Amino acid sequence: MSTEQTEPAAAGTVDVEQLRERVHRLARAMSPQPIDEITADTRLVDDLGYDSLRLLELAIALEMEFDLSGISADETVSITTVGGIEEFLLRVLGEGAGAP
Amino acid sequence: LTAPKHVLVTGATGVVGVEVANRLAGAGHAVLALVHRNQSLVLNNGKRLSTVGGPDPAGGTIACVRGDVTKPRLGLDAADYRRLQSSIGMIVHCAAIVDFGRAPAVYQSVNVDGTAAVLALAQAAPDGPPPLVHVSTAYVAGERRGTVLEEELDVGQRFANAYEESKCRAEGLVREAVAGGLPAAIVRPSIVVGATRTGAIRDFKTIYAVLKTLTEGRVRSIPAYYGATLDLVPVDYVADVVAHAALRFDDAVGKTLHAVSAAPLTLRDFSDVLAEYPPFHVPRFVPPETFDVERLPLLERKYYDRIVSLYESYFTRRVAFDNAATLEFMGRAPAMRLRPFLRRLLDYCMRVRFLGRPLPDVGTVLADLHSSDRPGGDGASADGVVAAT
Repeated sequence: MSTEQTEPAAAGTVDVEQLRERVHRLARAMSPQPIDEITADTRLVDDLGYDSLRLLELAIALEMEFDLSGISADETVSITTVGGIEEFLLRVLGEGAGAP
Repeated sequence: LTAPKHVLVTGATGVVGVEVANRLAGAGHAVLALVHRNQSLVLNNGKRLSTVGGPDPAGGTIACVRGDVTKPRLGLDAADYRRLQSSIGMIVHCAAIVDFGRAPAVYQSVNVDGTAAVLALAQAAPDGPPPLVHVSTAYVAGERRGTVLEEELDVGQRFANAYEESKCRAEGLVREAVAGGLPAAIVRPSIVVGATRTGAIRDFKTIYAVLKTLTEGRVRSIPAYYGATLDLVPVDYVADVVAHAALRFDDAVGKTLHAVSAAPLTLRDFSDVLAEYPPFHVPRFVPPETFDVERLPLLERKYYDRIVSLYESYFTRRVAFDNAATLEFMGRAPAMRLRPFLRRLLDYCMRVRFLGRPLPDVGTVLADLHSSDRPGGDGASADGVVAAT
């Protein structure tokens, strides 16, 4: 947890635009079938060609990029769009920042 | 005259369920396919099955019923539930979560409570309980070593994961119902893989995810014994056994059938065959006593924890599933010999590019992303990632 070198996500200061940009770039870079235009509605499986294994790798990439510990398989299954990743990150980064 | 009764197939979008539904319809049965969200039935070879509308399919056709084994009354309203109950002459219960690594509550809800819901449907049928074919798994044997007999279930074995435990409890519920008068047959497939003749598989899940992780070198060493055995069974053989159990129920009733390979593969077989494919990394098998997951590099550790560790127990087991009752019932085991069959599975994976053309791994992707950042950006974390790979 202490090795992260990027800007920490302090409570109330999560830069939503910057987070969105990072998520879009990562979802595109990991995608089996990258497309130019990624929006919150872009579907990971149907639009970007993710299969179940590549979704697990995306979860690993998110953990490393955002310094998270263990995104569960059930969470991975429940996130189906790029916007779903954003919402998930905003939630967990917000929670983490709110902890003492 | 009463209308001919329907066969209800649960889990009909699954790779086994859809093949079973197709075989039963092909034999002239009117099939009700219980489907959760996904309404399209796609065979293992990728062809879409045609279905008819309405709750009353004619013989030889399949109609989808939208339902959910985890909900009260299978998610149907009371009238639809009663109509279903009085219209079915047989149930083939294929619905299950077979992926590893999910929360225990998911296995409880689908595999255990879902089976209880199907049993409740059968037991309260107005004309007496219809016959049930229950699809279990050979791995209800958990971490048992040695030969496992078809009639054995709970002998005090330990389980490697919540999946195995849930399927054992589900089969226990079926056996209790049998003791209470429900006519049932149980089919226990081992690890379901591609078709006998083509090696084709519709979904690359379970063992395929491990195979990909290992052959792409994401994880380079695993705790394993060369003498450990993995039982891979072709999907068409499993569907044949389940369909035969339904079609020849009078012969199958009361039996438990191990739908397994003619003889299991050892990890030595795996290692040798993988080495025949130049693009593949062949994992190093480390004796479990000396394997230390803490010594893996960070990224490899993440791949290991998330994918390979779920199967760790399978790389050290030496187990054989006796299939005497199945051989007698079917008259045959899966046709392919072991190593040629494994090659056929791998050849298919190569042909459809599931294997052999790895996408960049997580470390490479993150390093590339950060190297294109402006100076002073996230470069430091990218360096950390590269060092970890």
